[in-house]
Amino acid sequence: MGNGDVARIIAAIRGDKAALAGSLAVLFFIVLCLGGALIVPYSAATMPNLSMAMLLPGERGTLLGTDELGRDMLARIIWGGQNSLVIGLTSAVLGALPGVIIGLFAGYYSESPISTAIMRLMDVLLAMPRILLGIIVVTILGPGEFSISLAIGVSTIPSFARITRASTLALRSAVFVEASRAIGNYDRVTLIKHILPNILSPLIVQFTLDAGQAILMASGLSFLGLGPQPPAAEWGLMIAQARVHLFSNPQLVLIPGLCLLFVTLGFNIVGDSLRDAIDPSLGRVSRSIRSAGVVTAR
Amino acid sequence: MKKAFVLLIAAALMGSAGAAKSEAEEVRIAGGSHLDAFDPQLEVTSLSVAMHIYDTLVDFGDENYGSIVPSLAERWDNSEDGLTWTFYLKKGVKFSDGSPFNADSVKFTLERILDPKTASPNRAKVAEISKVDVVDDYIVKITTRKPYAPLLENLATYHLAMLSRSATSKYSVLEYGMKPVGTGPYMLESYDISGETVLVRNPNYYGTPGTPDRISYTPVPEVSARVIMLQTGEVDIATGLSPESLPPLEADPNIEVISKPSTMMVSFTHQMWKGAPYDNKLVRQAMMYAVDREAIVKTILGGYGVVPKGPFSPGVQAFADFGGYEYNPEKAKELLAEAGYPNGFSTIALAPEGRYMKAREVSEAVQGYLAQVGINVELKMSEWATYVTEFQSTLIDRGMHMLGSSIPTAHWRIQRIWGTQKMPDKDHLPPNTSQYSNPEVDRLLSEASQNFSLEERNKLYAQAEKIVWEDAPELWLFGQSQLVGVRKGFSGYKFYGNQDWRLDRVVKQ
Repeated sequence: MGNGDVARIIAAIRGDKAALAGSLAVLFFIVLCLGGALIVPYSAATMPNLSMAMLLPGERGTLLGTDELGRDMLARIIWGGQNSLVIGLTSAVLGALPGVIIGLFAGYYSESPISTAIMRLMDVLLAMPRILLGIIVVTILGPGEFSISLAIGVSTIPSFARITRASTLALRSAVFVEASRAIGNYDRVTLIKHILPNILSPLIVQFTLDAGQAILMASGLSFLGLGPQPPAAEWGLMIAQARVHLFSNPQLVLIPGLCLLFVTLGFNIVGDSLRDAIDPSLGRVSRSIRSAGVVTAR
Repeated sequence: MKKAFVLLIAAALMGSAGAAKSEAEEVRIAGGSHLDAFDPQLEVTSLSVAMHIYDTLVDFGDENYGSIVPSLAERWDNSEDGLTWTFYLKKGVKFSDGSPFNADSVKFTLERILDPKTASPNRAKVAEISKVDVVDDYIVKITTRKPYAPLLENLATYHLAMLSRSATSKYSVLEYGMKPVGTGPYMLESYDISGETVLVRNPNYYGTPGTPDRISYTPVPEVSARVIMLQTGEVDIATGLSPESLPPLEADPNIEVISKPSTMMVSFTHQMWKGAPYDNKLVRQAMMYAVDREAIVKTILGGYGVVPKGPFSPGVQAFADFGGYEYNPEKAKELLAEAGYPNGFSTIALAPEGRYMKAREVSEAVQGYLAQVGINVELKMSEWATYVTEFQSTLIDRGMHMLGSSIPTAHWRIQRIWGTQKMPDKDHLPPNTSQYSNPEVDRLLSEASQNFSLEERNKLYAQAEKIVWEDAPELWLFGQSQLVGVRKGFSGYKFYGNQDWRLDRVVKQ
């Protein structure tokens, strides 16, 4: 993917109103949660102040009101969102790195029985419900940010491995790959310097789509009490704790719920648009991936 | 299922046949905890349900546990030296399996709970008994090693419910819990740990038969689910409601909400057996000053609770109001500095999910208050069954754990929670989970046990309470109110201060 591709992607996103809205939503939450945390002290999100409990948005100088323990909802959204975003992105990276390595190996040495075995293992992982896998990992490691990042990461390895393998398989007999081999390059040089850059586009799409899913799943696991522990904030945890007030104070559930909705939606729209934008520039690779029926498999 | 359906049709037919009758055919109740077993001598969660199956020798005369009235024993007397109790039993009482209730049943019941093989956690209630003699079929003599006044009130509690020798000895201690036989107005028809447990009338009951044909109990751990079941009429009574679930119920014309103070006091128990800093009285007092209990009761519990003014809740025998421990973080910091912890310390708190009112919110608030005086608390919440094994073990690291007590009688409450107790083994804690031990409290208990005037005993208990209150082996949080929702048209139910309920006199209009 060269500079021309990047320009084309940016142009495509600017022309696509949905993509623009999606990227703005993602950007907004990243700035709010990562930047806001520099301004709003952590204690505002965690320290109870019972004299301020259950304020409605706008009441007594609060923007989003307070929760049942009098903690500012905006501060909790910011710090909770930071947790959600960091867990989501970390787990996407934790899934992508081993997934890509496994995929490259399995695609390049596709005749090797080891790569067949690895891919069957990936199929087994793929067949496992992600939430169940998450619960197993958390049971072993104990609840917390790192365990759920790892849990979600592990569960995303197969999708990255399959996409990488399919793309690598398609490029393996390409002329530039044969040339690299012919001049006596090591396999790892061929893989990293020549194949990897050429299959990055579908991986970026997958990564974007996956980040949204990972944030959603992180909140799901936190909702079950497997993620960050009180008094820490996390959007899923906030929803879980406020659900008893669903009828009396629905905003306590709605605010983190809507944040989660917009972030996930944003990532998904951006991912979809990226895929559309990248498609024509991929030529042969993209079509072969399509015919392998992998890219759209979610 | 089929059987239940047939019964339902039968009940419906009977209902239409006797339309003039205003008796309830069935009363269905939902509560938060699962029922485990119906052996009264073991620690069970099914207390309220099992109370319908059993009777005790004597009973409490009022809801304040202030007087003792006859039940299976018509009358009783105590010898001059206070060592021998003679109970004169009612005649013609039968167990639900048809076997007669007599002096031998009393002897059997007491010897069973005293037998170490039964491993009853409530053995200490009657541990002073040296022998039980059958004088004739309806007279039984109980001899104690030394004068022991609390025996009578202990015999009135459910743990000393009368058992049938023939029905009980057929099974092992574990099996019997599922095959209960008692002299009470109802008997167990079916048991389902996660579904409906059904009681039907005991045909051999000696007294006036209960009004409902059937009493059913369903465990529903989620409060919101219980509320919905009550609103849709799936159950007639829902217990253990939470403050935020009340507004929709109060607005519902078909439902009546009952709010009553209870004897349940919820607190964080300090791990004094672990040594510093928990064995330091100043530290424990500092924590009492650091937490604003008034704000917790007012804001988190919505006012449905009592701010502790002593280690007992109002409604417990010998309740005394000492006051003090007002919210004062400055004083807390001073006390911590005096104790040698000017910068506070870090600790772990365990708390159960869904057992006590708003346990998570209260724990988080306590965490916040303690952080303000420099004590950093890591909070670990778990579901009740997991939690029980955790807090009873010394191997799980923590500085305090949340527990509530609803024991309504003073002697047993002090003896069980604050009386000096040895560890059963090195990894397990006795009921006194703080391992608090004060010779003065033990002395007052022993003095009270030999005094047969309840009024004088209550004064001794109040002295013991005062010592405990100052020693602060617990971080007392709140006295919990009991909130119950009942569908309109039902009456005759009884909700006791210790959160037990009786439904055998329920009438439906």
